[in-house]
Amino acid sequence: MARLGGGESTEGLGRRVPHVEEAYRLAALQATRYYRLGRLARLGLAGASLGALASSVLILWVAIHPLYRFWGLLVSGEVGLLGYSLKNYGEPLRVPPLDSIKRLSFMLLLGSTLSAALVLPVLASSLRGRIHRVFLEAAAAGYAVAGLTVALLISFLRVLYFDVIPSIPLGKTVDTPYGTLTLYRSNGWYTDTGLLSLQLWNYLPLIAALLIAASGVLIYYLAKYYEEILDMPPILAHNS
Amino acid sequence: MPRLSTLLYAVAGVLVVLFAGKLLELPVALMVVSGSSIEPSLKAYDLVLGVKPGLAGDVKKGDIVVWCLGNARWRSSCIIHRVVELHNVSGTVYVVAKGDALDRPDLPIPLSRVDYVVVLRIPRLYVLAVFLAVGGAGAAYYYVYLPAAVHGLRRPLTPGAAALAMVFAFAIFNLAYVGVAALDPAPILVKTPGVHNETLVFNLSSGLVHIHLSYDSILEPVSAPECRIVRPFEAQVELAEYSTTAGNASIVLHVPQSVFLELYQRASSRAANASLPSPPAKLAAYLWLRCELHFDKGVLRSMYPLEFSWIEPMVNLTGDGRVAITNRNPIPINVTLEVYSSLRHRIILRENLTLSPFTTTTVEVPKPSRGDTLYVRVYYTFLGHRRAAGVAVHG
Repeated sequence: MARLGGGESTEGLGRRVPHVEEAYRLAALQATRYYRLGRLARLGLAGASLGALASSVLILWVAIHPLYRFWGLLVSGEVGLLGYSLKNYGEPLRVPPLDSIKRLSFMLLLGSTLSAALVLPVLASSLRGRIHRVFLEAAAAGYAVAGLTVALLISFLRVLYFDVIPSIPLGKTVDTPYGTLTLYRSNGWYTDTGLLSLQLWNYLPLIAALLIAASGVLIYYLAKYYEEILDMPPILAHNS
Repeated sequence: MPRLSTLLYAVAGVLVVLFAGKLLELPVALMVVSGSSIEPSLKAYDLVLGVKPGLAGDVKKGDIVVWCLGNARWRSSCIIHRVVELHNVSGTVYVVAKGDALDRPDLPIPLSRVDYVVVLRIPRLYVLAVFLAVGGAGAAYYYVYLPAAVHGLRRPLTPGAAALAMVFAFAIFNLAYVGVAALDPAPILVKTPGVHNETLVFNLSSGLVHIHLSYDSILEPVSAPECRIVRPFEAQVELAEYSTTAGNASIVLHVPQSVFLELYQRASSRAANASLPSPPAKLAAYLWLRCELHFDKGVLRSMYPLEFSWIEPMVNLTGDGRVAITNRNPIPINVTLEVYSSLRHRIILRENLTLSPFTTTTVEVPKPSRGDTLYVRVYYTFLGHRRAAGVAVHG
């Protein structure tokens, strides 16, 4: 707590200030840096932050692991969002749409890392009653970023599962003037991570919606109850 | 003097009406371009202002026009292409349009179906710049200026504004990064092995079929070929020889005589009711051979036609007073040889012979006495017809 006295200088506020009036303003400004939340609000904050963190981990997990596996001679190897290693009779096979998905999936890495970084401080401080205002702003952004990234994950998985993977030929019949060469089929199936993403398929839109809604609720809460939740220093609390 | 806010609301209202113009079929509409069919004239996310053809004057060649598909809900599926031709058919003007980036024009549409003629194009960069400037100014006014003006330092920024700014920044970066990139539509080129050459030699006299195949050396045969006759009936053939080297396979098959006998019987019953040409008659015959060669990476299935002709036996005199009877068929033919003496008025020799496939059988006939003529006749059944061929030997 800053100690004000003498009218000439103020110590403890980080720097010297010439007037009491200005010192009062600085103290008021500092008071807007923290919120003091009730138990229920902190519980909600922790829950939403855990949800955002979990979805970030899920996105990272799905993004970095192979989702589909091919075996056979024509095509073999694994396909994921952030990379693929397919072989065609032992030679590396280039799949242009998968190259595009690989480049685009950088956003999944960025989004999930960013959202995790944004919600972690508030998750760590939600056990205490006093939370830095910037942390709450960051958490609100983190929920929305996590929601948007989940939405992005849905669209990437949709393209991968419904467009790109079905377009990779598993078998082929080569008509030549000398006969028809029917090449043995390769097979493909989802990896454990791919199956997990399919199991969560119906829930992903809900997760995205909940995270974006949590962000909206938090922003609305901050805007509406700003005055009530500010952690006022005693001098300001007394004056107000 | 109207207030600034009133002006802003008016501008926003006009923009909303213009954007709804296409849906509401208003005379003027603002539309967002999507797709790339008319690049480079218009690019995705460009804004275009269209007016009804009546207001814009006559539709001319070179105009960019918009028409919507009839069954599109909310008039959401519309096409924006350039007019390349105008046709007047029985009083109805048809417009032929084409995307600048396309090779082929669209199907002609009646002029009455053209909804808008584009009169103004606003490039997407300007749209983005205006959007960002207006949005940024609005956000700064609402979230920064107003709180600072009302609350001073105690509340310099509306709570939640920083969060919203971060979210918008992420969303715009996301749009810029993901939105501009599209899936590469290049095809997936899967390398497939192939068969490059094939030679087939059918030796009718030996019944052997020589097949030589050349293929990609990544293919390795894993078993001997399985071949059989499949047309006009099913029959087995024997694998006489089979060898492989890298990228090559040599197959020798033997068609058993029973196959030719069966084929001859079928041909005989089919030709019995038809007339044959004068001797020596020739009739085309064929067999279809199907082979399967199993490689480590697939199966090659081929059909080979084995063509030949049934040829009527021929009778010739040799120089030393013998008669040669030639059978050029893959089956034995039974014949009866008769020698008739014109001087004695009777048959002086009758003999039954079996002509082996692809052989010439010579028969010694008695020497005719002076003034006699021997008529050598060979009787046989060829393709269901009782036929005869002969020669005369003069004394």
